Amino acid sequence: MFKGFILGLSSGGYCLASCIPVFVPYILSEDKKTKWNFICLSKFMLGRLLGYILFALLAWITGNFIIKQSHYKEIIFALSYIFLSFTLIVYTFSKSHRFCNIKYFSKFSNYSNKEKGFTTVVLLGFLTGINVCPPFILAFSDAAFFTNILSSIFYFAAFFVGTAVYFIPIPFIGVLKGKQIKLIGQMCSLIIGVFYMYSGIMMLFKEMMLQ
Amino acid sequence: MNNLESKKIAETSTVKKFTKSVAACIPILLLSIVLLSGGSSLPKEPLMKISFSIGYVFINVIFFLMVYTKKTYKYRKIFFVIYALLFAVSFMTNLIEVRGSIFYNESTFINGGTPFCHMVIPMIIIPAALTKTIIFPGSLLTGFASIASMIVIWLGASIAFGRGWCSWACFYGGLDEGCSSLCKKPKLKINRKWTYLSFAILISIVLLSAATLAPVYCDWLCPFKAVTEAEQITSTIVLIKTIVFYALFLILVIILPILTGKRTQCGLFCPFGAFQSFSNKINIFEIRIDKNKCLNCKKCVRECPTYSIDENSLANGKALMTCTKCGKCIDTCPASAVSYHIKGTKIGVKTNLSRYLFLYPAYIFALTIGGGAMIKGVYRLLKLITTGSFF
Repeated sequence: MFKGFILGLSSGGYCLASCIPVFVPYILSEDKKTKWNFICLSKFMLGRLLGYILFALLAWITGNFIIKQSHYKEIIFALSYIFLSFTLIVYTFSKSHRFCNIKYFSKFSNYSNKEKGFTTVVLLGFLTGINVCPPFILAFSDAAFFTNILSSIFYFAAFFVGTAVYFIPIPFIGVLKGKQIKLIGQMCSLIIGVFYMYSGIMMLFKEMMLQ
Repeated sequence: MNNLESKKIAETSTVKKFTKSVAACIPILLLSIVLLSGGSSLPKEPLMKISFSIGYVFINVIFFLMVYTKKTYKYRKIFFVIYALLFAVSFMTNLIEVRGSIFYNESTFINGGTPFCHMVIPMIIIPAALTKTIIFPGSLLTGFASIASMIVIWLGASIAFGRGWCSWACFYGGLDEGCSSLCKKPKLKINRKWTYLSFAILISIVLLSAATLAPVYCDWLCPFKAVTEAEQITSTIVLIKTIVFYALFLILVIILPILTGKRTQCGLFCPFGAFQSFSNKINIFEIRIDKNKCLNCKKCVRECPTYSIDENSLANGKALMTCTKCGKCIDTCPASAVSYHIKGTKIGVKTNLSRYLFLYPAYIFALTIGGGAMIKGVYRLLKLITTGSFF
């Protein structure tokens, strides 16, 4: 567990770099206060943790099989890119940008709105969580050699905690406010969504051609 | 006073104005010799001598006209467009001479033979901080257009004249400026909301470059690949990229500027321009509007080529942070209410002095970056005319 934490702490910069293209435009387009951004971050991180746990399970079940079979790995990543881009693009054009607002968050009566927002941000976290970054592959390789499933999950959880430290400053982007920032954030979501969509399709196309 | 006397007074003032203008040009007359020769001895080859002379005369005549007529934009534009065209000629022919082709491939990357361009600067910052690597396949110190030299030049320019870089030093800006000049009456109006697109592209490419550890803008979006260097088409992906580059060049640098009369690539798309806008905050020069003189005709709002004056900024008496200090608003204002201004001084006072203090560093910087390339460009063209080949 400690090794997972240290690995996360030492290489969290890479994880941050992989996740900020998705999370920063989201925060900007919400145009909310810092404390609400922290709530958003916690939801995003929950999604990311779920992604990590899924991979911990996969690592334990397959014992490095997926990581060795490059086409499985590529297909999973390609599909995750496509879903990620789809979520970002849908988010850009959706009119409901209220789910980070604490008023709505606490309003259980407005269930559908809350539900929608919760799902989107957790999904973004989950999809970025199952994407590759070099330290993630290292953690995956390590976790594959554990004999019981709990060790594998705890290892990934500790890795997650180590990397999470680097995400703490992001909600402070909330100090940038205004209609213009919101518009820029929405444009970013679209541009990044299109980029990931293209990357995913190309990855999938390449794998299909190889097979 | 009879006609003869008034004619004599007018003649004397013209002579005085002419003499003053020549005196104001002396620093540029002297410095341009050093800047154009790159600090080494003057060229000996006859054709190079002719190119040098043409370049030297052109550069100094332009500066003289800016000083004598007090029109900045009109003459800067001529300089800027010719600079961009000659740069493209000089750059592409130089690549052919050095690398054998304007196309690059994997071996170019491995050898670090890709020239570094200022557009990459915003993309290398986060990866350099996080991974201590520069995500560009260029040389750090050696060769022409090395990473270190370009960063030093950019830092100096940012301190000296902020986003003035985009109208005085950028070797691409003259292309869409030239095309926008072809538009006599705008046939298309673009919603001002799109002016935020360049900031969105900036944030996106900075974040994606950090995530992928590759300069995403250069890989996917740079329209100027069409007039500099291009990747050898060896796969479908490269073919798609090449189509994207040429399509963007056609739309943003040629078609939209001709239809709108604006510098659409610089004002709506360029991420480096958006990045450079922040340097306007720390730079001492700005464009101010004297509200006491302003007629509120909004000519400056309509004429600004980079959408840097809107009604709100006009009410505040200054241009937006995206201003490239091209001088068009100053030249076109019918009440002379717009001027170059030094932060911290009174508005509308000693505007001529502020203009000179801006013009000198801006022009010297333009010559530092582009002077040599202009001379080489002229040389290549003369060579083509006289021998039928660029080399």
